[in-house]
Amino acid sequence: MYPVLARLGPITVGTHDLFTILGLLAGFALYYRALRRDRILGGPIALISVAAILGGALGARLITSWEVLDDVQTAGLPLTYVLTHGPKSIIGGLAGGYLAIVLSKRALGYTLSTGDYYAAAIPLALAIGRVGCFLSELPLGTPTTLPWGMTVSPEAAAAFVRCPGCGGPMHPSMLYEIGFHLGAFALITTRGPLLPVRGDTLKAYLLAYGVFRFGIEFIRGNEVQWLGLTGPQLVLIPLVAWLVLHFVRQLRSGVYRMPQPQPAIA
Amino acid sequence: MGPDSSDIDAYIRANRGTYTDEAMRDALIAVGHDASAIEAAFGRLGFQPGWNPIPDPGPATGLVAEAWILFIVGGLTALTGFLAASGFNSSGSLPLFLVAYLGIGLAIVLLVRWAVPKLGIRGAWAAVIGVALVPIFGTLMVGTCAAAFMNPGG
Repeated sequence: MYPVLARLGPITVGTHDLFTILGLLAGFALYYRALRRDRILGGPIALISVAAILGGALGARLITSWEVLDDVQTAGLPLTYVLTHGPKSIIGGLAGGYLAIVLSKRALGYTLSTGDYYAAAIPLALAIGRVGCFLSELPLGTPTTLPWGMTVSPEAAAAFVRCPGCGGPMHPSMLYEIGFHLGAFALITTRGPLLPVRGDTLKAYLLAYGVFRFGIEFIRGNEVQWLGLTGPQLVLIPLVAWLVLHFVRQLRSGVYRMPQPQPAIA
Repeated sequence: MGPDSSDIDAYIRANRGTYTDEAMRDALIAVGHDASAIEAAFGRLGFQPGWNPIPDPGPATGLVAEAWILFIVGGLTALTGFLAASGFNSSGSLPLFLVAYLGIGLAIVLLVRWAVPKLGIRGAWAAVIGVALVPIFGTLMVGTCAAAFMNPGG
């Protein structure tokens, strides 16, 4: 475990924070490049991007904050503790960012779907960000007897309040996720938009990630909250349901049958 | 520009809001259009009023947009301020705060949307009203926060 990468005088470079920033920078570089390529850079899209960052940051902190409310109350800490030290969730970040984009686009009267511009950027950012999780967070996953199960030293495990399974080999669940995101990134960058309708490639990726993450949670080692499901799984249920509903509606509307252009004149 | 080019242009204009460039390119190639003519059409039509998603800023647009931004960003800021100002024991006021925020914020936004086109407010007046809305809304929110802070659990 490497929770701290470096100490530069009074500045401590946290592994998780550094990889989060690197992931965001890489994602925004791709996003910027795509916007530039299609010549839609401008004031409105800049405001929408700022809204996405704010929404993502707040969503990441808030969406699973209910998991720790009891602990915060017991310790007599203010609610702000949840915002500053509470759990961070990629799912919350994505949901908060998405909601902020939708709302800010409505506010600005911006009707063009920009989702596909994020479709390659998000998996790249998440793949890089997850490296930070892998290097600094425990548990890595649930216990496993598979040959690639990973163990950590007792000293590293002792640094975490809760680390079930740290006594033996664990699923490297973050590496599974990195693999998923890199696969999605490769697919989207090599094949371009996977669906003909603007914005649906991003939604397809989010749906695939939602389903994948729901499954991964069973071997992630996160605390069970309710009905045998973890916090992220409970949050994912409505989000995945909404995405499924979107695609059902799209299919029923026949939008994937593109209008035929006039044939070329011979 | 020949008849082929105008067909390509019309197809792109009609479908650019819904379909990706790649999908339109494939559809055009499938019916025999020349790839270079398609690229030329995309070059001609790129970011023009035919598909430009950004409407011209009319008299109401700026102010309505400002009201929405106020509603979203102001609310998030106020929520953060509320959380910072209150201890956990006053969290019983959080639902009250959210209801007040949503109610007041939405009322302001709807009022602005309704009034601005009717009154024909534009230019400097729109800016003055827009700027004035922020402190008004902020005062209401600070008042709600202060009430929650002074009356924990209320």
